[in-house]
Amino acid sequence: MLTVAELNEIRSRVRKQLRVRTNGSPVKIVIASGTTAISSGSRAVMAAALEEIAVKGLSTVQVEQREIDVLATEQTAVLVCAHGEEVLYKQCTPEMVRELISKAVTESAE
Amino acid sequence: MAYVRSHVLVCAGTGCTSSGCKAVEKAIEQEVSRLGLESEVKIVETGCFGFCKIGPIVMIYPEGSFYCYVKPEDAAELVSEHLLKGRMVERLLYRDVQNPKPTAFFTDIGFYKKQQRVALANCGAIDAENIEEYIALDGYQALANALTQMTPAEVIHMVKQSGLRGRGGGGFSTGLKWEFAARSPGPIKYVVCNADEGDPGAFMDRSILEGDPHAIIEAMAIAGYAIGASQGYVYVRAEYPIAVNRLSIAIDQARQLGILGKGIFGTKFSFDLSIRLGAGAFVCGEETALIASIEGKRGMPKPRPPYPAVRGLWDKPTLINNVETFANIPQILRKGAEWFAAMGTENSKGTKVFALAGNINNTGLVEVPMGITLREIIYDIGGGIPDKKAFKACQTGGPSGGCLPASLLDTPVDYDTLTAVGSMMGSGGLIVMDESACMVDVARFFLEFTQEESCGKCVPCREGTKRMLEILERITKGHGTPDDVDLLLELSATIKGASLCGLGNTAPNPVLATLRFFRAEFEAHVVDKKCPAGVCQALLSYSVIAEKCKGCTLCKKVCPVDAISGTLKQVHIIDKAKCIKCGACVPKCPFKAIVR
Ligand SMILES: Cc1cc2nc3c(=O)[nH]c(=O)nc-3n(C[C@H](O)[C@H](O)[C@H](O)COP(=O)(O)O)c2cc1C
Repeated sequence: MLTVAELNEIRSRVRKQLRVRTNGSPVKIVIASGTTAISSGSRAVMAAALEEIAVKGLSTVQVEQREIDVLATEQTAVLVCAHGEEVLYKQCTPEMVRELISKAVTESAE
Repeated sequence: MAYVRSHVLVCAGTGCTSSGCKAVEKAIEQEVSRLGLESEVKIVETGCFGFCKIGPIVMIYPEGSFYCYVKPEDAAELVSEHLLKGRMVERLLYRDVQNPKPTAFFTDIGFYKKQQRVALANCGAIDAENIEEYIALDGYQALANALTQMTPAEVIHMVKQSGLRGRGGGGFSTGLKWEFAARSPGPIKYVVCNADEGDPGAFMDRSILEGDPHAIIEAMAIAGYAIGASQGYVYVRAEYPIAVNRLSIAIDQARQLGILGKGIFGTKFSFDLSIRLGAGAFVCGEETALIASIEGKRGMPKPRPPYPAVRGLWDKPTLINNVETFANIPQILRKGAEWFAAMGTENSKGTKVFALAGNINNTGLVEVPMGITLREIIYDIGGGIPDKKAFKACQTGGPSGGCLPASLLDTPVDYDTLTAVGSMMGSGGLIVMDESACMVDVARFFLEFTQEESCGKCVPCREGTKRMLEILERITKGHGTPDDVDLLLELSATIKGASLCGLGNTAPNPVLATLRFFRAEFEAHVVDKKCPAGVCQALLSYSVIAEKCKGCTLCKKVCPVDAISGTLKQVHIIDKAKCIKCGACVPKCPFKAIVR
């Protein structure tokens, strides 16, 4: 038999998974994903970002993929948008994006 | 747990299912896996988004991009462009009829802008087959709170305060009905959800069951607690297989979690639900006929009183509410009676779902605050009339309602105003007709429906509707007389007053409303033997305007019965004795020389 506490536990657990359907997160991380970005390794950056977000349990952070207009040599670009401010990071590697999330993104999401 | 960055919501309501959403979903799934995105992207089947005309609909989050008319062949582009590279696929975005620029987000689409979703809140937003998604959006909180924090009387008081009225057609106060059922003595009582939905064209109940079945389960359990019932039945037509399937899954899931069954949330309250399938007779939506049908008897109405709240299913006190009525309950309990009562008008609180159909650009399901005007629904949400034709009438209230003319477009939509102008809210069918509709034929159509659906138990309905239909058929065939109009009025009064149930009581309404607002059209049929809209075949006569005819012979070639004679560059002539009035010649003539 389900208790009210268990009902609330399901609610908070699954609500985190459904946050992606709200398009209103105050903290967003955009990984460049145009053709040039992909060939420069942005998919690995994306995978690292998603893994790090999962590890840190940052359910309020929204991850988007889109083209970011920088020089080909500056890929993979990553844009961190937090509370109305945007910071562009260039030549990101998987390790760098993990660090970025640990520092900049985690702080903003808190 | 892995972080999923994108959710692809595929509408899997009946409309999108019939336009091929399953194949679209499968194709998207294959592409997602081909590009190795399975761990990043989740594909979710949801209930209906409401905009059925443009299905299959796919919505991608977090962006909230709204794609329409999606085909399996589009999946590769959608996945590689949007989900991999983050570029919207413009050609699949929604385009308004008036504005060819694509609209990326569903919140910017005119069809949704004026809508206020309460009963449909979760439809298209969650996976209806996953109880946890319902719980995530505060599902079952109202039930938990009612059972642990409120008395049954407090629950009923709240429903009364909200001003909610039955959405099944009658518009009776839901809170009062609950109070009557609660006050009826007896250890055994029942809660019944009326999902028969017999109105032609209406499909809001189906959509709610398909898109948010747990809301109905939660509401019925709350009702059971309020009136003292431990068993409920959902009476749903067998023609709704997707709804029945999703509801069955939802009931099983609720049972597994202990939300249905004994001692819910650790309280002494027990409640369970069963589904009863109806065979699709319109009269079985009438509450006493519905009860008979659940009892295994022939679905025929009984005189009331006694009302079901006093003596219903198996002679026990029974609370019957419509699906949409129930769909409002969990939110009323969660957000408060004042929140609900703040929407709508003085006597019609909250919102109403309408099924927009007919000659209108945006067909589908819309939920609007009570008090909105017909014009706003038809033009702002519905996008107006296609092909630059003029609005002629709209039919509200299904076979029990009436047709309203253009002069009443600014009528606010609420129970009392619609009744006052000669129609009714009904369950929410809203059929729009353009200038090409013949109002006599429309009245005949609705009467044909009620006549066929009359159960035959009482004479006024069984015989009266038949006689009325005969008269209307006579009129549309050109054999009507001016006396027929008076006879229709006389018969209507008798049938309305003497029939046993609401079917007969309201069956003459479409004829009465049409006579009230379109009497000239009736007179044209009976006096001039003309159908001004050119619909009633027997009253049509085709002829060639000699001054316009260039003798191109196109009409002659298309005539299936060789009723048109004439040689090249000579004026053609239609032999009226041979002409079968099929109308094939009219669109063929490039000079508009053939008139009806
Ligand atoms: C001929 C006829 C058909 C009806 N069909 C339906 C129906 O399909 N669904 C429905 O909810 N109510 C229908 N009703 C109204 C029901 O009798 C009943 O009033 C309603 O289910 C009560 O629920 P509510 O108070 O929530 O509206 C019908 C009534 C008549 C007379």
